[in-house]
Amino acid sequence: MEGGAHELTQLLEAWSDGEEEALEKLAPLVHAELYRLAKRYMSRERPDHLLQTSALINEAYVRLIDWKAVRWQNRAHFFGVAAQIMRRILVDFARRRPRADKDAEAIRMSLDEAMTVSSERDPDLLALDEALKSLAQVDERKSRIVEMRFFGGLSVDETAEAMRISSITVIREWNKAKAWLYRELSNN
Amino acid sequence: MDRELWKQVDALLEQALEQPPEQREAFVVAASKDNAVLRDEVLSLLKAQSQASQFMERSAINIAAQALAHDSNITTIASLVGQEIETYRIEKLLGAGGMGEVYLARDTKLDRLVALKILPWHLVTDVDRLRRFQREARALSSLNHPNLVTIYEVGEAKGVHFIAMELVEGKTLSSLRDKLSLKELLAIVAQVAEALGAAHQSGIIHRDIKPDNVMVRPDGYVKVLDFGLVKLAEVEPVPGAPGNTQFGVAMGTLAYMSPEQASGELIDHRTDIWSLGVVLYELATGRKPFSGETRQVTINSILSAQPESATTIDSNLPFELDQILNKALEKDRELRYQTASDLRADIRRLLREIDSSPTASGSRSGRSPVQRLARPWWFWPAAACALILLVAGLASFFWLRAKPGGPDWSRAAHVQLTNHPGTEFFPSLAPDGKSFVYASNENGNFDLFVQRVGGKTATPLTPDTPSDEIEPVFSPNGERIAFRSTREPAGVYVMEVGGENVRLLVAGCHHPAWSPEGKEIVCSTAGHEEAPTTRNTRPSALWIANVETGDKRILCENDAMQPSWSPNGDRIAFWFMPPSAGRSDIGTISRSGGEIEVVTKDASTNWNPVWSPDGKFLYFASDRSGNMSFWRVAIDENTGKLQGEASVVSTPSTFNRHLSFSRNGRRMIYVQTDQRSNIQAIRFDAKAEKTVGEPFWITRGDRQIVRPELSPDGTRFVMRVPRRTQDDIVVVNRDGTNWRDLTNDKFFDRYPRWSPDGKRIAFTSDRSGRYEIWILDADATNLRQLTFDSPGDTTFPLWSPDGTHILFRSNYVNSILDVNKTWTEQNLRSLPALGRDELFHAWDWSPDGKRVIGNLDGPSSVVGYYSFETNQYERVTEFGNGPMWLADSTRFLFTLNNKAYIGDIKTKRVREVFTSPEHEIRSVDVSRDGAMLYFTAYSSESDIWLLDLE
Repeated sequence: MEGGAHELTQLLEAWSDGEEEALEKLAPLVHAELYRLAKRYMSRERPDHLLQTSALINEAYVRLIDWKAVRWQNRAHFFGVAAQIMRRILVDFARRRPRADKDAEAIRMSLDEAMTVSSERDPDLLALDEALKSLAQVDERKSRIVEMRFFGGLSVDETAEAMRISSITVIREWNKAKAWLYRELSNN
Repeated sequence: MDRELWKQVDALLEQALEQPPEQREAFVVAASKDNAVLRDEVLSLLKAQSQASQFMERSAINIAAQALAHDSNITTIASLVGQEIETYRIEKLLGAGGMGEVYLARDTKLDRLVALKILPWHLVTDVDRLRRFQREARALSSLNHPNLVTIYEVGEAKGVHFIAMELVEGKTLSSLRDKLSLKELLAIVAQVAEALGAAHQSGIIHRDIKPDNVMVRPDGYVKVLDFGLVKLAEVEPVPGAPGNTQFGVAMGTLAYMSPEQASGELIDHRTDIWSLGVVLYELATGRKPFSGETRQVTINSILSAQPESATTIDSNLPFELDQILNKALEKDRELRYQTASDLRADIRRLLREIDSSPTASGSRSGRSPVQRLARPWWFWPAAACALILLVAGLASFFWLRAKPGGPDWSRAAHVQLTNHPGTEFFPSLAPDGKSFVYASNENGNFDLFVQRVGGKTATPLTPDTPSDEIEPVFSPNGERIAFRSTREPAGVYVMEVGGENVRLLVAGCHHPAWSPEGKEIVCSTAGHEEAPTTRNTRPSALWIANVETGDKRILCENDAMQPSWSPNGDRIAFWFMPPSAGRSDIGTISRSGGEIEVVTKDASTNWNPVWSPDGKFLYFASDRSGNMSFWRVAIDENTGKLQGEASVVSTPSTFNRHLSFSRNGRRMIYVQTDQRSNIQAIRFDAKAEKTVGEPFWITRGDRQIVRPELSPDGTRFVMRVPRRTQDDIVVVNRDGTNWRDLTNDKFFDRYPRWSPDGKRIAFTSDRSGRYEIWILDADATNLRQLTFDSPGDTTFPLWSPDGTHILFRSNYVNSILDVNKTWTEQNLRSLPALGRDELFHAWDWSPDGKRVIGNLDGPSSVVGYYSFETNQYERVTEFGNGPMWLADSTRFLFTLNNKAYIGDIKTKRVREVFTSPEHEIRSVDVSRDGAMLYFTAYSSESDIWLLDLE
């Protein structure tokens, strides 16, 4: 097992024990993954494969975690924590990302077209984070499911395992949460 | 919104979503009565829901990464020189190409130089495909073939996917172009053919044979590189695209592609034979046989042009070469060389001709006399070596196999020791190798028996016990036997060899194993007869108990099963279910506890580890090569560190388990399991709901036939046939004659179903890298993919009776697609979801089109149907599997264990129609006129075998 895995495990544990500084050390690891993906985007002809990245993220976890050293109660607990962390880091990342100027915006438009990715299915991460906080006020369970599925990249079955509910419940709740968030974001 | 209102909204939204889309609005209006707030909330959410199908379907990290890709100026990937990846220190770049960069690297653990190929991102996006590549690489390496580059490891570290392989010092065949005499060229091509032959026998196709992928070492050995790598780069088919793009075209090098490859058809091993023919033609004549200015012109040339004969280009070339090239470059692969060995034999014959004819010196035309005289730098020692190799190829192959030391079991005598009906398993050889103890269920429940090797009489050790006794093991001095019993309290027991003095040692334990001095026993708190495929067991602990005092301690609380104690007593091997990827893996731990040393770590099922009596090897069972075989790996029994690569131990059967050795290691005993199923038929009176007469066999043999379905015209069956490393779709006539493989390649093709007009077959296949629905004409042409990017494994295609639609299931959802639309045009209709933790497993669409019958899987599995008229599910029976409709669309046949039943959806009456005395009935079908029942009769047989080197 490589050194990085052991380190990450300790960092995750530290973070879940309330050590906020651990997040600063964790972020570069997630950023590395982010850059890796970004490079892949730049080198690709077709973006469709990226729809399958839950598996990839999943693998990233598996790769980065030294399971033997983990004292999580279980895999489910770990997934829950990992999804929370992903949310924090990705939202922070989006917040700090410099706003592009107009020329860059134009280039981005054409890139988007080239990649045939419709913008409507990709929410703005900052806005989504806010909407998710509102959702948590009225329906904690749905917000956690979204956190795990969308931010954590977990599959339906993994989410079900982590939350100790059935997969069918996850699918139902996910569909309803999506509707709620979609409405929320399109209203604004 | 307050929580109370939200609860109401949520509940009503849930109910509304269970309605068909067109009825939802009306449903909400009706259900919300006068509550306008509730109504408007739910309606607006319903509207959002209908628009949000793609919303958030890409995970956040993708969105962030894509933004980053747009924003930043990410330049090229930093050079890897000087970095360490796992145990490899990268020293310098050797070369780069579309398939990745190759570095010279040092394996710091084993202190050897390796070639490290770094795969580019675009090759590793598809996890399934990567896994398949890894499997192939492992299978190839296990062949230890001198002409195949040994792959040490396919791995991933620091986000980089890499292949560590044997460093071949030499030149590529393309760099030796124009420098070879015909004899030298033929000797090289013969070695390539030999490598291909070995790989093809393992079911592996290269797909990209070209001069760049053939390395020639200074000593004349040829090494073929990059087997199957091009498959990783395969372009996924574009739905709805015209022409030949329906099936993924592997982007190999166009000039060397076979016609079937260039036109995107299914390819098999014969594509490599064509490509090797192109290589031979090109290097012999100095011209490519098929080429063109553009891609399309080249493809046309491959598909239709007849290349000039080699002797026309160079009249000094022998006529036999034309013949060889004609057979290798035959456009119809049925007329081509059928195996690489045939090609190799013809080349060797030509080489012999050249050698024996003094006039035909084997030199090529006088294009350049200097070249002809100047032997290449590497050739002098090489020629002899290469030719000797050709003659002695097979011998050296086996010699290389045996090289790691340890007994050569391929030379052992195979002896079947038991042949009782039912299951005999968990054999343990006495230390002297002269007798063995095992468990058998010949008398109903499992009891222990002892038998002499070579004898026929089994002596029962635990007669008259109603409990099951299994997992017996001889103590090292041969005087006692430890075993597992389900008697009260269940656990590990110890007795004398004659069956006396039975006493409980550890309650709750399984799989006892003796320490070498016989004082202690290690056992696991969970037990398995076979390695389970799903991770549904609680972690198993290892206990160590003192045999005399009964004192116990826990050795390891992580998951660990079926332990084996090393002969020096220092370490204990076991298998476990890893928490992440992989199905089961093997590890070792010191007898005093501590860190676990990993022995296997891959996606296959690795289990049942047993130390060799000399302590130098760990044997285990694994399906890494497709079938469940024994493997062994050199290991240090003090530290658990591996001393080499695992290699397969050849046995005559395809499913092996439960291994045990005699003390001198010259005898090994194990269980071989045969599973077979064949089609039987019996006359049926549909009116009286009774079978008439006796069943008779349609097919016989040792194969497995899964779910045969009678064609609509009643002349043929289509069925799945699992083979060693693949599942194929096969058609056979109603009388069992005329077997035809509709598919036969290394993919898993399953669940074939006839279209109602009998012209096409829909099935499930992983040929795109994941399980999707495919369709094929009944003459095996027109293969095309129907579903793409499904959220989960997509299975069980069912045709609508008018043949226009197919129902399939992906994860928990059954959906219906339009066969005549491309995937992008589909407007999928889904059946409503069932209750919590329930699943509808559809089996058959009624002939009147009104219902789909199947299994409702919840806490128990029952037969039920979905009605398109009521949009409701209805359960019909309390048990049973695989229901198939009769022509009246009211009654149906189904099975359970060794019985077939008929049921009626109106009366809900169930009646038994047939009981098989000897076989399990795995599926049932009925002729359209209702006069004949067809079913599959399944049996499995486990017997004990001996490999004997004495």
